[in-house]
Amino acid sequence: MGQKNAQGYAFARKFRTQLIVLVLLPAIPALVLALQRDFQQRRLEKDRIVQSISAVSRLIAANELAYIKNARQLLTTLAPLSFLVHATNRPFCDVHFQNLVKLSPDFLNFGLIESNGTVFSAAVVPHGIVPSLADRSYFRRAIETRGFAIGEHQVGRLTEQKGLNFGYPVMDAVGNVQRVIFASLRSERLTEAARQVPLPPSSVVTILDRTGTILSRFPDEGEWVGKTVPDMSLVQNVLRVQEGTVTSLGLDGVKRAYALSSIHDDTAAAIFVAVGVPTEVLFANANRVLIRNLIVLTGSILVALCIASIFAERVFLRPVQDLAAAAHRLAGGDLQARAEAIRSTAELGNLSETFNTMASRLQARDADLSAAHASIQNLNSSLEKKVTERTAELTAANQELEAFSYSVSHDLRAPLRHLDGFAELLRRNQKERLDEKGQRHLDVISQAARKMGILIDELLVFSRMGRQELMKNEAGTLSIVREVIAQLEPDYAERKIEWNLSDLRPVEADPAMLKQVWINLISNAIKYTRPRAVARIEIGSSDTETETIFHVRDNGVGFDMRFADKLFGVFQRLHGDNEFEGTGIGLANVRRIILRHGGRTWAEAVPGEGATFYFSLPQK
Amino acid sequence: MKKTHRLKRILLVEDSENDIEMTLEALSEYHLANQVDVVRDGAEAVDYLFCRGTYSGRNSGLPVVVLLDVKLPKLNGTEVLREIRGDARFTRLPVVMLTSSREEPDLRKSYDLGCNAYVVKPVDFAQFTEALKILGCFWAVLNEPFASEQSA
Repeated sequence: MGQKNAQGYAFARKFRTQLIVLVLLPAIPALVLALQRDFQQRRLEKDRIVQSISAVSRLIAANELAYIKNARQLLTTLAPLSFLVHATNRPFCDVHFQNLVKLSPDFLNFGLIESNGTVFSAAVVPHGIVPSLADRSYFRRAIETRGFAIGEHQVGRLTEQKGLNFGYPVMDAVGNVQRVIFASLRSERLTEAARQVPLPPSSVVTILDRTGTILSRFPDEGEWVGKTVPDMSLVQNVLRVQEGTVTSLGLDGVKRAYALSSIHDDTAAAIFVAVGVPTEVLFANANRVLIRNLIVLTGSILVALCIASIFAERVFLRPVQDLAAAAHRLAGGDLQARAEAIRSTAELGNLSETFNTMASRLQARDADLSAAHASIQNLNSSLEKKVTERTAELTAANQELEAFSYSVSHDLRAPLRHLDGFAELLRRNQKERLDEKGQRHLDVISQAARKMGILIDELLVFSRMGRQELMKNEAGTLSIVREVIAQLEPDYAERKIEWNLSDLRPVEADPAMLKQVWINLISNAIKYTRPRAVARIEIGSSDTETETIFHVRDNGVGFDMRFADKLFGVFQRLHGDNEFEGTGIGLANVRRIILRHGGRTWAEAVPGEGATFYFSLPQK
Repeated sequence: MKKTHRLKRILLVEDSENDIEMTLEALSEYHLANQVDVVRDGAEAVDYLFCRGTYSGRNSGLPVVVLLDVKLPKLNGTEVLREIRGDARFTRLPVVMLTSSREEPDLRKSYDLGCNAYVVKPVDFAQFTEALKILGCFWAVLNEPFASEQSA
């Protein structure tokens, strides 16, 4: 039962799962479409934003470039002036440079550096020892590249202010670099230039130089400006990619899409502009749309599922489960189990009706069966009662029979004995008073009494044969027959008899009774062959499928087959007593014993030629 | 011990007068008839042996043999035998069942109770006479009873 219920639940669960799959199936294309649209949206959005930040980035770079161009123009105009190569009047030069600074307020300083890095002249010089600038990159690069070189954003050694330096070589007539003229741009000018560009929302601008120093960052400067952080992933990405777009973690750890632009000096990129927008912002719109779509889709799926589930529960699952439960109850022996009528669909309705009809029939049949069973039990018990009654009756009858034969054996024999006894006494004591006729009458009385004695004895044996319990055993037929022939020897001592004993099968029988059968048959054969000079008696057996048949064949006087069925009756004789003596009870005994063993008896004969007596016993 | 007391008595227990007469007739040929005491039912037989009732004054010891019919009024032969064998005095008393029938239950019961012989009375008178002569001759003449029980 439990297992079947579990199966039922498993079925319901499976059915529900399939239902969910069915409902979800059409939602998949919608989902795919939504996602596809979202991706498209994302791409478009991203492209749009990236384009806008790229534009911003380029714009900023261009603005920066304007200052740098300005510086270049100034330096390239000044450098060819021949006096710069050979000038020795330092104060004079200083004044000139100071005037230049006054004229160009975007610049902090101008100056001329000897080829060994010592400052020859500058607009702004510190008091005391003037530091060497030999290690400055703009200086070195200007000498190396013999062209315009952008340095790093740093605090100038001369001005002690933040600035971006530019160098340009001053060459002699043969083209050897004798000195380097330099300009130092105010760093805030760079920032100002960038700030004039309108930024897209949420975007951050970072400007850095080739050493990874952050020149500017806005709208939120944070603590980054002025720091050299070449290990930051943004810095690495910018220095690697230089131009174009890249997605990277920002300095503040926020992931952004960056549009990169760079500003070159004569040989390499020197300043980089990165405009970044957080990827969140990048996809915010698309995500909003996607989420809205997904919510709508999920909502409609849920609604569809609810409707389908309610429909399935009401129309199909509940009736089927009810039907299944009823079927289980029925299978478990509850014949009153019925399914509720199903109205949801005609087919299920039919099914439940059919089921109920079947259950009703089953119940009816079970009731019939019970009734039949009860009546059979009744019959059985009454039969048993009858058998008991009959057995009691039979036992009583048998006891009566026993008592009867006991009385016969006692009380009928006594008068016979007296008849014979007193006839004899009369004969003995009154001999002289009796004439010959009287004496013959006495003889008749005596003979009749003795004959009756024998009859009573045989009748008692016959009766006992019928009542005596069968003690079945393996009986060796041949040995019994030999024993009987030997035992009967006095009856044929004077005669010539040819015995022919062929195959005699052993049988399952009461040996004492079987011996009685053989005594009767063999003594009959001896008796009725008496007129023959040579009597031939043949004894044998043969097997059929079900029985063993024994026979005793003689060449005696035989009998008329018309009376064959009388032979085995009690006191039935086919010969007169004066011809062959006998009581007519021997063959009746044979038949009774063989019948009690489940066998048959019969005989064949030709008058004057002989007779064959048969009996059969069932095989073991 | 007087010689006359050693007369060998035969106790015949028989209800049929005809049988009694025929038995005495048969025994008389061996001159044994006058040694026979006849009782006509089982109860009387028991009284005789236990010297009770009408036989209380008998005082004549035990018979050499009891010829006991099976079918008797009051107590039957096997019941009488049970009474006799139930008493220590009669355990060695020879008892011959003398009866008309060869019914197996009677035979078995008689031997179980300790009878000394079981003889079926033949219907043929000559055979009957012969049987009685042999019985009387054997028990009264040939057989030697146990000494202490042969006289009172």
